Amino acid sequence: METLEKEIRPSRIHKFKMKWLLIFAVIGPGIIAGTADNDAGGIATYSVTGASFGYKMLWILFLITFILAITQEMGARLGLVTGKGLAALIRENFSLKTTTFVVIVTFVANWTNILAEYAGISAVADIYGVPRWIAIPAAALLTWYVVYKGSFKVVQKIFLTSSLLFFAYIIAGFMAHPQWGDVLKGTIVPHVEWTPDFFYTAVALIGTTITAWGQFFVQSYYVDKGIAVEHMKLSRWDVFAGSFWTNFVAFFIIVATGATLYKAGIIISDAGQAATALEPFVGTFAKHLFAWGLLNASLLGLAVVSMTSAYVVTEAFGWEGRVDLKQESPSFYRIFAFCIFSTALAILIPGLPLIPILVGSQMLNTFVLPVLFIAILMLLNRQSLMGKFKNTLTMNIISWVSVFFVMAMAGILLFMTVTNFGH
Amino acid sequence: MIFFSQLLRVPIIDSKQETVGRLKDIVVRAQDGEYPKVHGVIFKDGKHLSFIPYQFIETLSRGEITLNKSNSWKPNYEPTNDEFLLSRDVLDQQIFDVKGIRVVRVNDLQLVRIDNGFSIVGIDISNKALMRRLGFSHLPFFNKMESKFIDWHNVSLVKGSVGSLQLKTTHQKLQKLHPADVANLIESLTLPESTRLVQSFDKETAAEVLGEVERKYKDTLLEHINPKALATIMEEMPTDEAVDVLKDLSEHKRIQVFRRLGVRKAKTLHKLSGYKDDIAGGLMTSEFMTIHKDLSVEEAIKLIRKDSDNYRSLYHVFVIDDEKHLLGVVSIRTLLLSSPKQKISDRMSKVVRTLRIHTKAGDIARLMTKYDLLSMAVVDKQKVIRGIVTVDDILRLLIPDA
Repeated sequence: METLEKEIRPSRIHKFKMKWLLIFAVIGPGIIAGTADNDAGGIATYSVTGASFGYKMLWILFLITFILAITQEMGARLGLVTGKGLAALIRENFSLKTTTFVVIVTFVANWTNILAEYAGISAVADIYGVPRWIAIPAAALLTWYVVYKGSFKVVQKIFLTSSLLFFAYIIAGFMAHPQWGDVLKGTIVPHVEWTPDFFYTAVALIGTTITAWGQFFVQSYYVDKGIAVEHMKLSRWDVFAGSFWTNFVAFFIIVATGATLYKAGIIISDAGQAATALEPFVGTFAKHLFAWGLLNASLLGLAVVSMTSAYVVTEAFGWEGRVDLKQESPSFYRIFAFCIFSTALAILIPGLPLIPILVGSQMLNTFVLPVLFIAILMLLNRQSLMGKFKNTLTMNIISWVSVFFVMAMAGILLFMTVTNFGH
Repeated sequence: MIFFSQLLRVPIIDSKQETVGRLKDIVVRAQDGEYPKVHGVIFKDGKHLSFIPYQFIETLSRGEITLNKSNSWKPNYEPTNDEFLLSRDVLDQQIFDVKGIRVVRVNDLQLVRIDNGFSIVGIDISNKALMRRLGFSHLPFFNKMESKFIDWHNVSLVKGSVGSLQLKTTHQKLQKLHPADVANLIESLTLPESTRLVQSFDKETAAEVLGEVERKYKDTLLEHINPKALATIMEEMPTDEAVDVLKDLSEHKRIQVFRRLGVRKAKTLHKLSGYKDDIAGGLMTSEFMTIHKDLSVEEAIKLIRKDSDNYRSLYHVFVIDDEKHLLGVVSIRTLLLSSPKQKISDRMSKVVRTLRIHTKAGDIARLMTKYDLLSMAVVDKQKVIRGIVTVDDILRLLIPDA
C-alpha cells in the first residue's frame, strides 16, 4: 500500500496545476452573475452618472462594490449548501402565497428589464443605421438559439467571454485621458451634494446593481454548476472577483464620460447618446467601444434575465428544470422563449412609453427586494438548512446593515419617483 | 375526501366549545404496506406547538375540528421515528414518484376516511391544487382544470430530515425499481440530495445505481460522495466499472479513495487504470472464474455454487492447467447437461480466439460479432488469462449515451 500511494501521489508541480484547474472549474458563476448586473440599464446609469456628476460619485460606487459582494455571497452560499434555487427554498420554507407574490413581481419586473435590454440593442442599431425591425428579432433569435441549443458548458463559455468583453469600457476610460488625481480623490473622498438630482442618481446606482433577478440568478447558477461545498472558499473568491470586476467596469464608464461630457457640460439621458456624444472628444474608436460594449451588455442581460425568469417560475411551481436537461424540463425553455420573444414584439410597438415602464420596473424591484433579503437572511440563519455554513454574528451584522442600506435607498428612490421629487 | 390544505389553519374547538387554536400541522404514522394514518394534530399554543392525539378528535372537516375533551394535549411534541409531519416534511417538498420515475413537488395531500381514522392516500401534483391553495377555486376555469394524483404507495420522500423508518421505506420502494430508473431519479435531484441518497443505500445497490448514472452527473456526484463510502461502493463494483470511476475522479479524491480501498482491489485497479479506455486492457474486468482441467463436472459445479456470490453474471468458466495457461472454456449450460463424473477437460471447448491487452475495441467488436461471442478472454504472452471483455462493455463504448 505504501509504495502504491507513492506511485499515485502527484508531484509538487502537478499539485500546483491541479489547483489552477480547480479554480477554472469553480470560477464562473460569480463573474457572470456580477457582470450581468452591468446590463443595458446599468451602462445607461453609469454613463449618465459620469456625464452629470463627473467623478463625484465614484466613492459611492466603491461602497456598492462591497454591498454587491456581500449580497451575492449570501446567494452563492445558500445555493451551494442547499443545492436549491431561491424560489424553491422560499416555497419549501415559507408559504405558497409568499412564493407566488415573489414570483409574479419578479417575473413582471424582469419582463420590463428585458425591454430595457432591447432598448439598449435598439440604441446600438440606431448608431450603425441598422433598422430596429432587423436588429431586435436577430438579437432575440441569437440569444434563444445559444441558450436552447448550447450545452451548459457552451453557454457558460459564451457568458464568460462576454464578461471579458466589458474590457472595452476600460480602454475607453483610458482613451478619455482623465486626470487620475481627480479620479482618485473622487473615489476615496466622500462628497455629497444636497440636491434631489444627486440623491436620485446615487440611489439609481445602487438600484441598478443590486437587483432581485441578480439575487435569483447567482443562486440558481451555482446550483446548476454543481460545485462541491468543500470549494466554498474558492467560490467566495469567485463572487468577490465578480463584484469587483462589475464595478471596475462601471468605474471606467463613469471616468470616460466624466472626463469628457461632464467637463464640456453635455447632458445625456441614455447609453446610446453617450456613445455618440463621446465621438468628438475621444474619437471614433471610443464611440465604437461604447456601442459594442452596450450591445454586449444588452445581449448578456437579455439571456441572463430571461433565464432567471425561467428558473424562478419552474422552481416555485414544481416544474423544475436545469439548463442542461432539455428533454426533462420543457417548461424552462418555454418560459425562456416567452420572455425573449414577447418582449421583442413589445419593443417594436411604435411609440411604446419606455421610460414610465422602466420606472415601474424599478418600483417592482423595490417591493420584492426586502422580501427576498429577509427570506435569504432567515434561511442563512437556519441550522437545519445551513449546518456549519450558517451565518455567524459578524456576518449577520454586516448583512443586515448592507441589506438595510439597500432597502432604505430603494425606498427613497421609490418615494422620489412617486412624488416626482426634484423634477 | 379532504385536502390537507383545506384543514390548515381551521379552528380547533374543544368539548367546552372553546377555540384552543388553529391547526398548524398533522402528524401521521407510517405503516408498512399501508397508507399512513393520521396520528394527531399540532396547533400553536401561544409560543410553543402542542399535540392532540387522534382519539380525542370528534370531527375533522373543512370548517373546524372538534374535540371530545378539553386539556388533553402534550406541549412541545417531538415526532417519533415512524412519524412525520405533513406540512413540515411533505407539503411543498419534492418527492419521488416511483411509478412515473420522476421527482415532483407536492402541491396538496389527499386524506380519506379509512376504518376509524383518516389516512393519506395520495398526493396532488396538479396546478389545480396550486390554484385552490391560492384561493382561486371560485374562478370559472378552475373546474375545467384537471387534478393529478399519485397514489401514496408509489411515493417516497426525498427530504433527509425525516425519520429513519421513512428512509427505509424509501429504500424499499426504490429498490424495487431497476437501477437505471433509480439513476434517472437521482439525476433529477439536487446534488446534496442525490449524494445523501446514494450514500444511504447499501453498498451493492449504490454500486449498481452508480453504474447507471449518466456520465455528466456521475462526475460531479462521485466528487461529492465521501471517500470512505466511495471506497466501500467501489469494492462492490465490477473491476472495469471501478476503473472507470477511478479515472473520472480528481487527483485529490483518487488518492483519498485509494487509501481506503483494500490492498488487493487497489492493486488491481491501479494496474488496470493505466490502460486506455478503448483497448482490451481498459475494457476488461477481472471478474471471471477459472477451474482446473482435471476437476470433475461435479466438483466444478460445487465450486461455482460456493463462489458465485463474487460475480454479477457468470455464463462461462475458464479452464486452466497447472501453469495457469488458458486451455478452454466451458459454459454453465454444458456443465448442467454433463454427467457429474465426466472430466472438465473432456467437456470444454478449446479457446481459439483470445485478446491481447492492446487489442483495439473496434477489433474486439468485430471478433465478437463474427464468432457470436458474449465474452472473450484477454491473455498475456504466456497465455495466462488476465481478464475478460464482455459484449456489454463493448456496447457501452459504442453507444455511450444509453
